[in-house]
Amino acid sequence: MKNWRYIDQKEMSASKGLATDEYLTNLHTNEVGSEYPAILRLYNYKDHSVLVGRFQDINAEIDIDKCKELDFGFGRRLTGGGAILMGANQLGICFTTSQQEFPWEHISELYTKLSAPILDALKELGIEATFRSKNDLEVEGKKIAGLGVYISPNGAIQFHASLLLDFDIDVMLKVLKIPIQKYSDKRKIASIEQRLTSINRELSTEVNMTDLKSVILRKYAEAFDKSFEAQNISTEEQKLIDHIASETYENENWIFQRSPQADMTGVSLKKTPAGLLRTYIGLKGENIKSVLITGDFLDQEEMLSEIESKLKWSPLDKEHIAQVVDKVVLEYSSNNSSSHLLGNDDIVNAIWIASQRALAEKRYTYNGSCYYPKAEV
Amino acid sequence: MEKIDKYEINQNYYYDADSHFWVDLNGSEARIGMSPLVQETSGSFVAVVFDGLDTEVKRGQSFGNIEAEKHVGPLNAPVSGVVTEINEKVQENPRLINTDPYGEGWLVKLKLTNKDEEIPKLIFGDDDIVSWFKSELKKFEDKGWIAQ
Repeated sequence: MKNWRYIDQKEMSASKGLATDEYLTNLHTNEVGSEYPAILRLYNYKDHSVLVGRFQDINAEIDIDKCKELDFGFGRRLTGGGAILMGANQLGICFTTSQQEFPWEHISELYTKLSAPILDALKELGIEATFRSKNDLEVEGKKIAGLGVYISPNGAIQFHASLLLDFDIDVMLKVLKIPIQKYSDKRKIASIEQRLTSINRELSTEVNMTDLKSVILRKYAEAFDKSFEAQNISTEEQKLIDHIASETYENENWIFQRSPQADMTGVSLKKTPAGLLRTYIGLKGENIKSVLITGDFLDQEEMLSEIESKLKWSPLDKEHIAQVVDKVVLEYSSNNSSSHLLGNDDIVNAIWIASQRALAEKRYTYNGSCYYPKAEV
Repeated sequence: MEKIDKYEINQNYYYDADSHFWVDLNGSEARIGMSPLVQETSGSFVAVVFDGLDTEVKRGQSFGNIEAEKHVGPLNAPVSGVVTEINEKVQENPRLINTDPYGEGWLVKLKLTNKDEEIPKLIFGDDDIVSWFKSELKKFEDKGWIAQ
């Protein structure tokens, strides 16, 4: 039985970090490397690097000027999903393999099998996390890790997770274009804390990155009954990685590429018996890319966060939206005694109105954020 | 068209068993798209980018990339050919693959370059298509792969 390869790296630049992921993935191609053992790479980026998903409009997702001013790296991943802020306290987990080494039949299997060691590691640390259907790991409704899968044309697999040891809300607000920028500082922080958590926020004692890597590595070995052999990137490999970085990840054609699908945004503002409901929506084609529902009811943000999560990357279909809202509100109502719940119809209509405004203003979002409305409604 | 469970299956097309792509053969040309089962299990398609017109692809090689709810990956051709037409509507709105897989959700047209050898490798004919699709559907259901 061959050992699997383990690589431990830190303080990666955006381009070298991404290029290393691609280089390692390409070791598993059918033609030349189908026998290459699986690789687990645990690493972190320099403080800070902002990475967008494969087909996102980078100008719509992150403040490039602010990144340059703060000397932050930025780049475009191979995997899909949304923009993420990476740095010393965010662990990148990259697992690359091939069909031959790691047989699988369906994408869902990759997510469940390859995220299980991360859930086990969190459990050992004292955190009960679960897999959330839209490719996140969550703790009581709050995201603690984002997951992604890239499959190369030759069938190699890259599973990637970004696990939050901790996060810095101030830094996030500086560079990520998220639709709560106009709120007071207190509201901004509360809104993010309702949707995001980290290992160190969940525990009373701090975990350091070295210990976290150690437990993750051990859990991967246990889960697949494999031994890992530490083998750092060689000088020859680094030359190849540098070439990939220079050709792709430092190339503006890659970083600033645009997909043919239009990004659209809309916002609605609705008075309800529970308070003012403000809804932002981001669409990509006829898909809901993101929803943010906020208002004068911080005590219900957990429920709203759940609705947002379930609607992410789902079809723009009013019936589907209503089904999701009904289900989440029902679950929330049975577990919560609040007497100021928003009406289901209020939530559905607010989302729908925002979406119709987005469609009416179909446009590419060069001039601002895909989240940020052009003007208050 | 035959309805199997909730899926409408076009029995006039050829199907690639591995990729679940359909091939609408018309002489030496073919239109390519995805069966309703593969799109159902992938979730919503979010982005489609094709390599471009006149791209020559071999069977099993990529002619573009796609982002679905679950992954980013290649579009691997079920037959070899040269891309002669790209569905611009599906580029603008990839959800058409989900909502109208045999209609406006088609992907590209190819001028076939190895038709005689490759077409016989595809599934064709009412009975074979229905039998294959039912067995695939059962497998997907048994393993819990159908998107909820």
